[in-house]
Amino acid sequence: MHQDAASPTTEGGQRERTDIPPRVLLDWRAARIFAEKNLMISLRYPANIIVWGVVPILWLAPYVLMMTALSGSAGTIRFQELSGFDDFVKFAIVGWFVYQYVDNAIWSIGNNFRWEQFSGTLEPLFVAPVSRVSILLGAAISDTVFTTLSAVVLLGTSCVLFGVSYSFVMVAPVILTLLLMLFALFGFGFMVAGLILVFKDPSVLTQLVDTVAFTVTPVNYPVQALPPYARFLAYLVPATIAMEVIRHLLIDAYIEMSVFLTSIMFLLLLLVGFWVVGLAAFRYAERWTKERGSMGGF
Amino acid sequence: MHDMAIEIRNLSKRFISTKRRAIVFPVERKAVDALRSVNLDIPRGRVYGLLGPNGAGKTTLIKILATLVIPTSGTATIMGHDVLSDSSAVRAIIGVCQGNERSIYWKLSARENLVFFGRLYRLTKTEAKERADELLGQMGLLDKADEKVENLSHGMRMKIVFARALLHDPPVLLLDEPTQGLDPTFATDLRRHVQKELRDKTILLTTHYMHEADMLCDKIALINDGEIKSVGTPHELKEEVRDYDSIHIIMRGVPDMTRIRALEEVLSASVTEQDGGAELVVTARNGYDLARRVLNLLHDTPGVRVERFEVKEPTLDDVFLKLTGRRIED
Repeated sequence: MHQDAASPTTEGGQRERTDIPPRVLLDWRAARIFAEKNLMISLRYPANIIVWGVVPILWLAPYVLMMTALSGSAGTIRFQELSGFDDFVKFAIVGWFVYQYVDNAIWSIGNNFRWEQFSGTLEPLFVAPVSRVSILLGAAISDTVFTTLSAVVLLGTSCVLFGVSYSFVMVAPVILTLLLMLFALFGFGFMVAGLILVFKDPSVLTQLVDTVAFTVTPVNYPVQALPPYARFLAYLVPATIAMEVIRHLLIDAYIEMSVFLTSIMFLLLLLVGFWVVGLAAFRYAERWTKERGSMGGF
Repeated sequence: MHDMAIEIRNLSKRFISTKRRAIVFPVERKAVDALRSVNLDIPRGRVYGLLGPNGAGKTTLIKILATLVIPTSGTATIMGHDVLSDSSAVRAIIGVCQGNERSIYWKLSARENLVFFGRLYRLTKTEAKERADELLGQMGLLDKADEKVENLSHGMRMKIVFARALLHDPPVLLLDEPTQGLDPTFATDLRRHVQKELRDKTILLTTHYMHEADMLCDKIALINDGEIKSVGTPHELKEEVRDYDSIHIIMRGVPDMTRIRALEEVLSASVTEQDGGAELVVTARNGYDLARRVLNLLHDTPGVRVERFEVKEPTLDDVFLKLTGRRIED
């Protein structure tokens, strides 16, 4: 409900602006404004953008080269049996393409908050009448723009360098799957932002989560290669389902409708779960910080 | 419509700091009372000063009102909105200026900063641009509007921080040491702006500059160790030390403070050393009579030569000294 006590006039005839904005969980406009600001600042460091366009291919190359040196680009029969795909290079490139977004979702919101803390701008943001979720999401969106740039460069250069190609006839389901995965992981980012409010620098914990996620998700090998207990953990990370679905869409250009819909439902469930836990953790952390008066500290 | 813009009732804030000397030792907890049962009523359209030394609790009070700190007990409302239960409404009607030049984006220009924050305060892009230019004009920074903040001086950055608080034309302004560290010209500019342009606003201004409080505030609360010691207009407060005078003596050499403080009727005596000399300030009843005795004493002190002396009217600092036993700028 928007209470609009617009501009009453005091005895002296002075104007007063007392518009009270509606209390909303998420204000897309504010998120967009925040993201635009971040993009504007990022563009003031053009060298970083160029470097981040190139670095992911340097991460991927050693895995591809090692695997092709051991068993050729198709991989071993064992790999084909486990993964259901007959080309390791194609398999790994999709894994790395999707993991760019996972990496971004895990780090971006927290890093943005940390940067605002260092800049001294976190308190002014918290004094502004916008929902916290909008700020968190704005931070995530701006980094997602750069990640998309980096991931597309990775996909393009990998195709050229390693001589592979993909089918792009099912782009819409790929984007839907990526978006659901991303938004689910943003929930984790909210939790990291909360940790940053409390602990100021939880980068070690974030690195641990990132490394565990990289290990259990099927970036370079199928989930079936993991020990059984680790497979369960893998399916708690939204990236696992996303990678499996996107591989089918980009490599086979086909996925059974029932499998696709089940995957989407599962991603939606994870999204709700991650957001509930992430937002609750962030709210708790915000209150904890306000009680101790340590919001602006770093 | 609420008569009081800000109402504070029994507001207390206790911070618990924890320290562990080594991993095997238990955590040591220390409680610090930043605010102790503070009560204040600030009517609409008034400039209200909160005057006190560093660590008195001024910033904690501002942060509670700005919804950045949760009080331990008590209540505070702004225009009838509770800062705890209705914090989003409070944030929409306050403008906050903290004396920190780092609270804006140095990689953005002055205008880009103001437009960004203006849009967060629900102005459209066009409104935010117009408002940014209007405020930059008032601050004398229009020619620097497109300059990145990192290339501007400290004073200019502080003016942008100040302008940000005014973007959405809020009825209530919380100004926390807005002129701290500014050179006299910039400080005077900001004070003049408060006097000329913001007379319709309710302003809570914290400062430890007495002349600033004296010049700008309709009413002043003296705060020390988290407690409000006295509230009144600058004139009313000075009435508390009406019988006192403040003797200022500039000299070469350093005086013997023990002997000066031992003189009868001396309320306080402090010395500031400067360039091989010192400025001695003695507050006491019957200033002229005492001045003679102090000068005689200095005359007898080896190495001390008095260059000039003045007997002044008491200041708010003298009031503070009488109430708390310490000076504001200690």
